[in-house]
Amino acid sequence: MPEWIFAISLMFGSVMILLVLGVPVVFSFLTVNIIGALIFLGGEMGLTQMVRSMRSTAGQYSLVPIPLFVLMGEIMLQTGMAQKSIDAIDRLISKVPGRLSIVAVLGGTVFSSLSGSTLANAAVLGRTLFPQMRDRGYSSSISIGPILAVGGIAMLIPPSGLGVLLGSLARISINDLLIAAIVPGVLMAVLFLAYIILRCLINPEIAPAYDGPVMTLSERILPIFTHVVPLMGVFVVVVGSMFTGIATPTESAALGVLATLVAAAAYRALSIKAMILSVRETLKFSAMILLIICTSGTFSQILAFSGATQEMSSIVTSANVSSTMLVIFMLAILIFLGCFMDQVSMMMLTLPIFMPIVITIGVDPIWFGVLMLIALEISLTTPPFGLLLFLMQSVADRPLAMKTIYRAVTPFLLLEFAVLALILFLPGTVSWLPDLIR
Amino acid sequence: MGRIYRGILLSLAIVAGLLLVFLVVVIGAEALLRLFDLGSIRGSVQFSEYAIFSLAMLAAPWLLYHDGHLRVTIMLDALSERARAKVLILTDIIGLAASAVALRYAFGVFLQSYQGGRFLFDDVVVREWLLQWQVPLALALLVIEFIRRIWLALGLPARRVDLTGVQDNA
Repeated sequence: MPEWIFAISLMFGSVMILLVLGVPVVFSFLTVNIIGALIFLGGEMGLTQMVRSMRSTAGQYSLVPIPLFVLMGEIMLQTGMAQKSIDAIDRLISKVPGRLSIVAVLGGTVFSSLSGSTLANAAVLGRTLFPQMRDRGYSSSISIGPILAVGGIAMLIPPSGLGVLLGSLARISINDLLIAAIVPGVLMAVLFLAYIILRCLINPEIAPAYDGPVMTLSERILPIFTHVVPLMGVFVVVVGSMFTGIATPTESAALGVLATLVAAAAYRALSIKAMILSVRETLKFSAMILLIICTSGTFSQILAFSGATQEMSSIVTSANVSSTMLVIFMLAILIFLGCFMDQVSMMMLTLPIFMPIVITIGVDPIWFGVLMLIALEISLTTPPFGLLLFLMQSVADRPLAMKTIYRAVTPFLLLEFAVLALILFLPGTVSWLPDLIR
Repeated sequence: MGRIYRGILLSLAIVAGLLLVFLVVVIGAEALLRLFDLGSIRGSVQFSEYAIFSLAMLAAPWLLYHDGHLRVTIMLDALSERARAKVLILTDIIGLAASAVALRYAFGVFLQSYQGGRFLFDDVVVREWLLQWQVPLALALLVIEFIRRIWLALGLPARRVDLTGVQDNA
């Protein structure tokens, strides 16, 4: 057996077995790296190199936005600013079919532009809007579906922690990737809104109309100006500073955190307790991701050193297959893996093989990065093990059958696939915004 | 003893939290200073890189104590409680073995840096061992934590979740 086939079988086979067994992701990769370093990197020398490469892999300036984007979202959540902005949107929307579902999509999209965490996004909507929807007699398809679908949009609309991770691991421009992903994110939100309105018009029983509290026009509109518009300033700081080139993505993330702190202080919502909770929750998520990244360098290095990366690339490129078919094939692998695996593991496993292929076949890495982000976003809600499906079960105030959740999310998944197909066949949809800035 | 151990894990997590604050302050200040043409902070990129790496390392044992490391639970969810507890012990043994091997080499790298008096040349010249001690320390604590989990779980496998500190608030 050629060494590269042995290497690829051993590395991927072992890591898959360990992951399925339930070994934490970081220790699965660490174990496989140790085995790989012993066999392919010269034993003790390879193991020493493995330890040395931990710092150079995780200690990168370009990775700093991951904790900072998550910190922004946590501050919004812990200080109650996120809740107030969703309440303000809730007051504004009236006399629309499927009102609360629309509030979920709009609120979720707004919060996506302020937070880099998909989990925080889905959790805040699930906790606040789902009980209201259920009490108002909304069917599960129109209550659970929008919450889960819009939760994932946080991965596309900047600030996006996982977007930064993808850009960093794939070595593509984080700035361009974050900006290019805005269009599909907004497109998805618009499609979700159209679908909700259409379904509620066809079948009003799924979201019974109700009379909300009587409010004056100013009572409806004013909260938007006090609780949503000022927070949009945070989005402007983050995206605007990247757009104009004033700041790098890392600096824009730090400025975003400072702007969030200023907003919290202005609302008199800043407290020691909220800050400690924000830092603690950010630390849990960020340290977990960064430790996994520590192991990514050696994993890629072993694949490259054994010749697996180059051989795979040359086999793929010598096969008489169009680049579009290859991209579809890679996306299909991601979507399949997404049914069983988390987003970070998927990136770690696929990027060392995918990116050399993408470069060799001459595909725009930014376009591919956006497609990959959408595929990763879809995998958050694909049965049977999408992460957000379980989050929904845990945040709901009453037991929810998994079958109900699967059924509710299916139409929204189809819409996400439609956006994926659109971007796949019309690459200009994502490239015009970064091009415009250049 | 348990209190001292928890105190060490919590102290390292607090340092990691402070490093997070450091990142916000230094990088934010750097961006603002440049925006207003007031110069820059020497070594801000370099120390930010050191901070993000140290943050991950120092929080690792605390994260394990709280069962906070990401894992795929596809098979674990399908198992009975008893079988699940046994598989979890096996996963802890694998984690222990990997951490112990990595610790052996991480300590070697640290010792080489310290004894060799190596330097890292960047904006600010620093001794290399200042960026190497975090790895053996984190791995040593991970080894201890895995041993603790296995020891506790072997005593009462069914109550493993209660015993591994998941519900503590260290």
